[in-house]
This record gives sequence, structure tokens and C-alpha cells, in this order.
Amino acid sequence: MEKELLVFENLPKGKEFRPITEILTEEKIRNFVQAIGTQNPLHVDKAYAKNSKFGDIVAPPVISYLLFRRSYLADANMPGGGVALKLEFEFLKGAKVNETLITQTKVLDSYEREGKKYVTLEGVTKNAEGEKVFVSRLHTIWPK
Amino acid sequence: MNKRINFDNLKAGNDIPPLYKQMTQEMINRWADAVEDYNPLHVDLEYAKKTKFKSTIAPGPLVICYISEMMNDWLGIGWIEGGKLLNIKLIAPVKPGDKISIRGRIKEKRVMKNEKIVECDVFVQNQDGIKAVVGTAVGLVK
Repeated sequence: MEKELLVFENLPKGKEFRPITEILTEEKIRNFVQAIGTQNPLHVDKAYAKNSKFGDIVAPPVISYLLFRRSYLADANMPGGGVALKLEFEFLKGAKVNETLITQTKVLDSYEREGKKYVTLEGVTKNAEGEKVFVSRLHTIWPK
Repeated sequence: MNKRINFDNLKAGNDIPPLYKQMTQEMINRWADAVEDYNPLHVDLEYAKKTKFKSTIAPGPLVICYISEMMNDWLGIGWIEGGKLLNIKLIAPVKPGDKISIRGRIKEKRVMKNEKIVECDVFVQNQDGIKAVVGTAVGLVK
């Protein structure tokens, strides 16, 4: 079934999306690493990463964007034509291979001004122990 | 890559080791597949030609990833556990073929709660010196 569009009317301030759970498999990390082209050995070299404080490969922290986006688009599609005004990220803990990560997005702000629809979304990603791993924020002019 | 940094030697105005990349449609397509974002402005050449940009453009978050990569290569663990990208603004497009440099400069360093913190101005600019992305990166020196 085609998902509905995520429209402004469905983004009131304070709305919380349902949490999404992802297991960070080695393949997911590898795909993301290839997509951004990093060659940092902490992300690509198992032997090197074994000797780091993490003891295994860790994901590039900007994988937080992917988890964040998936969390607010789990049940709806993004309408085209929006404008990303500002993005912010906080990386708090390394996310290792096979970690379970739970991401939940909340509408931090939502208002109309001079005919434009402004929305700020914040996604918080936690690990299985409930510790914060990433925080991602997107300030946008919402398209519809 | 992320050699040990001596915090005492860091000064405001110091440059972070930059990264250089050339944007290609293939890089954009790989990103689109990874994040499942097939906005035609990024992946459909015919559609994008009719927009004000006259070509496809790279998704902003992909370009922001390069800033994180620069910080990660410089600070290592102090970026992965303690990095922040703040007030990152997308101000001009990056198009396939653009040669971009990813750069940063230390604005301030401070010690808080025994953590050694560096705050940097970061930006991505194209071959014509036009800034595409600007913002602040804060990380830890470990």
C-alpha cells in the first residue's frame, strides 16, 4: 500500500512518532560507508577497530541522519519541494556492529509565518541500554 | 589519520586538515540508495535540467557527511563520542563535477569538566570559492 504524504497538518508541535528499531549489521555499516566514501579505519578495518576502545567496527556517526529520516518516514512519505534550513547533530556514543538502536522523532516546533510552514524535528537514538547515542535535528520549510 | 593531537599546541585560527572531493552523479546515486531518498532534483537529470539549478544537485546531508568525515579523521574517538555539528546551513548547491574542499578552522578551545573541547568554523566550498555549506563543529580532544 502506498504510504500517505507527511503533511504539515499532521506535524503539530509535540507530536511523537513511533520509535523504530534497527540492528546495525556490518552490511548496513558497509553500505553507509560506501555511500559517503570514508576510509577511516575505525569504520572499515576490522583488525584496526579491534584494537580501538570500541573493540569492533563503529558506524560513521552521521549514520544518525539515516536512522532519523527512517524514523519520521516509517509510516509516511516526504512531500517534495521542502527546504532544509539547518541541520544539527550530536554524537554521544560510538555505535558498534550489531548494536540495537532505537530512534524516536518528535516535532520540536511547528508554525506558519508569512504563508510558510516551519517545522523542526528532533530524533533521539538510544542503544539497548537506554543510553543516548545520537541526537539529530532538522529545521525545515515544510512543502505542504 | 587521527594522530594524537596535543591540545596545548592548538590555537584559535589553526586550520583543520582539509578534505578534497569531486562530486559525481554516481556518488549522489549511491547516497540516494543508502538513505532511500529518490528526490528527482538529485537523481533525475531530465527533471533537474528544468529547475533553477539546471542540473542535479547533491543532497545537503551528503555534503554535511563530508564535514563529519573531516572532523572524524582529525579527532577520531573525540568526534565519535562527543562531536557536535551545530547550525549547519545549506547555502548553495553542490553539482556533479564540482571540486569541493571541506575545511575548518579552530575558533576557540576550552576545558570544561576535565574535557578538552575545540570549537571550529567549518565549511564546504566549490572550485570558485563559493561556500555551499557553513556551520560550527565542536569536538573533544582525547
